[in-house]
Amino acid sequence: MKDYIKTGLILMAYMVVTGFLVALVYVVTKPKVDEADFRSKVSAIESVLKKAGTDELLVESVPNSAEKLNGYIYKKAEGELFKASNGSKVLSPLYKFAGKNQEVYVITFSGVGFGGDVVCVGAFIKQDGVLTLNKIEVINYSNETPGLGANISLEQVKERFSVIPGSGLENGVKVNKDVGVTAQTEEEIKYNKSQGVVQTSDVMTGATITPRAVANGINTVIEYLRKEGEI
Amino acid sequence: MRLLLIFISAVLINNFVLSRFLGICPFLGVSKKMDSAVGMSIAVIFVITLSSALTWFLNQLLISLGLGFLTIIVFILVIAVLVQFVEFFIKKTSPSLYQGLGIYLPLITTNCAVLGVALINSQQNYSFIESVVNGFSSAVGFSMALIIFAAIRERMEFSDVPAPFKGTAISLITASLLSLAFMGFSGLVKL
Amino acid sequence: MADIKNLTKGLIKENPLFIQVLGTCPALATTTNAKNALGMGVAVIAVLVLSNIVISVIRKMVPNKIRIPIFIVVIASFVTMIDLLMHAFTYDLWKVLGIFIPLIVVNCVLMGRAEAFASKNGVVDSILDGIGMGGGYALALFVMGSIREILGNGSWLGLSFLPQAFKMYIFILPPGAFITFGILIAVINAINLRKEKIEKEKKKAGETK
Repeated sequence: MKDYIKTGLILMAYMVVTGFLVALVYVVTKPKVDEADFRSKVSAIESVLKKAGTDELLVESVPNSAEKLNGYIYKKAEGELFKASNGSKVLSPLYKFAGKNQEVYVITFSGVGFGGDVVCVGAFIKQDGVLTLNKIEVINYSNETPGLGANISLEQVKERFSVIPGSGLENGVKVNKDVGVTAQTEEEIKYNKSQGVVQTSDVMTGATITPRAVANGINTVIEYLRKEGEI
Repeated sequence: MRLLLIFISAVLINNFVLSRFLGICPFLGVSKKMDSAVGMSIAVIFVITLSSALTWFLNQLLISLGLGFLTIIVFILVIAVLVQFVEFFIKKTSPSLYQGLGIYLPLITTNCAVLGVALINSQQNYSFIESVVNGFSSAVGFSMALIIFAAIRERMEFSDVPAPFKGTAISLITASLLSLAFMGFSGLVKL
Repeated sequence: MADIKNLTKGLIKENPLFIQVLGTCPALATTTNAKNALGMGVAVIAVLVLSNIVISVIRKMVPNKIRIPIFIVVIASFVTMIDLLMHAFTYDLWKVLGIFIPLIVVNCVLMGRAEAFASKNGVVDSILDGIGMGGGYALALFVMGSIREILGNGSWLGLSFLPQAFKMYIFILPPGAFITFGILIAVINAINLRKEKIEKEKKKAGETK
């Protein structure tokens, strides 16, 4: 019996010492960890807040700390803000920025992709009562197939989802494969976008599920904003 | 419904061994004979389901105390203790199984699958029921892969395998074909 | 010097991944490209060396009965520290490696070296063993990662050099991991078998003389 107590105490002693050392490292690294987490979150937001195709910001400035960013939270919830019947979600928190006589919503949303959720951040501009999509960043696509669905993160693909005018968003965003059209020229691509048809079949060959997930996500955002009376 | 989806997802789509790469060591080590494969499967299902339940409670406790960073240490210690108990239990109830499993029983502690499930449950913020179901399903997925693999390997004993491939190498190539087959399940379920 | 042997044996002769077949889970999961594989390998070296040092220092003070739990506690605490440090300073790599950083705890290489070497040898030898075995593991991971990246993505360490048409994406996917690993082991087996054959023939030639 004494043996067990002795070994038990020795084990506890080791655990206390190591626990203390680990706690030390934790406390020392915590500020850096928080900073790294924040920076990763804000880099996507900063990117979508830039006018598509340029380096020009839509707003005065991008928050440079977690507290400042939290100041822009417009809506938040415990889990997701909204879930559509097809599995797409609007995630918490939702930010609203004031731009030059316009309002910019920065919304994190997801659609059901090939192997899981494809998570994006998008900047939606509301001006004179009309909503347009400025730009998206794809922040989680780890379950999509490399070389196929994972190409959603390429600039040329994301760019296809940029600058979708109000008419396109109202019609509902779809990938061109689902509508059965293929644009041949830049003007056709732009026109189709104004009708809500996003051309992805030429820059993402063989992968429709992943861009469709993004399209579904965008539509769910519109559905949510309508439900909340924002548009 | 969601629970059923978690089950199917863990067993077929994100199969622990064939697509998440957790539990490879026992997968390669215990799959030579069907009996030890089945025995190992039962032990693993038991350990993982129990540890999913236990680690869920501990995770909640640690987080509420602000000691989230101690998760790794606490989880692995709990798993080690749990495996000791299971070893003791099997020794008492089925000595033949105990003999058959041999050294692989204590090695369940270092089975990435056990710790992996606990970590995944905490990362995904599953509820208690979801954690246990996820644990159970992942273990079933592991067992399924293990048993299929054992069946194939038993057959391979009679095949004429080129010398450099004998043993681990041909097993890995077989595993890759199995993994390829399971890839066909992707997109089956939209969680 | 007997010391240096401890450093070099882990690199090829007793390579933890290819010869001892230890630590296979991260070897398959984190080797989708060379950079991630190297990152994982370096993390393992760090934890291995640190835990080898501590275990070697306390080896005479640890009661035999509870040595395994104590090794676990030591290894787990270093893994936690490395996880925190990577989260703070190498965020992108940390995100990519995901749960495989905590899973270093159950990487058989660490427990294996603690049990087989560090608990029975001095600190300097244990450091060398840690660097050697860890280095061998990292090297093996790097080789696997490079092969999978080159064949699967036509790039190496992020630099593309093959056009789209040559990319065999299967190598970045799970089956590709298994195949790469299997073929590498087969190649090493083939080399070893040939070595043995040559040695046998040398012996035979020596006997008939």
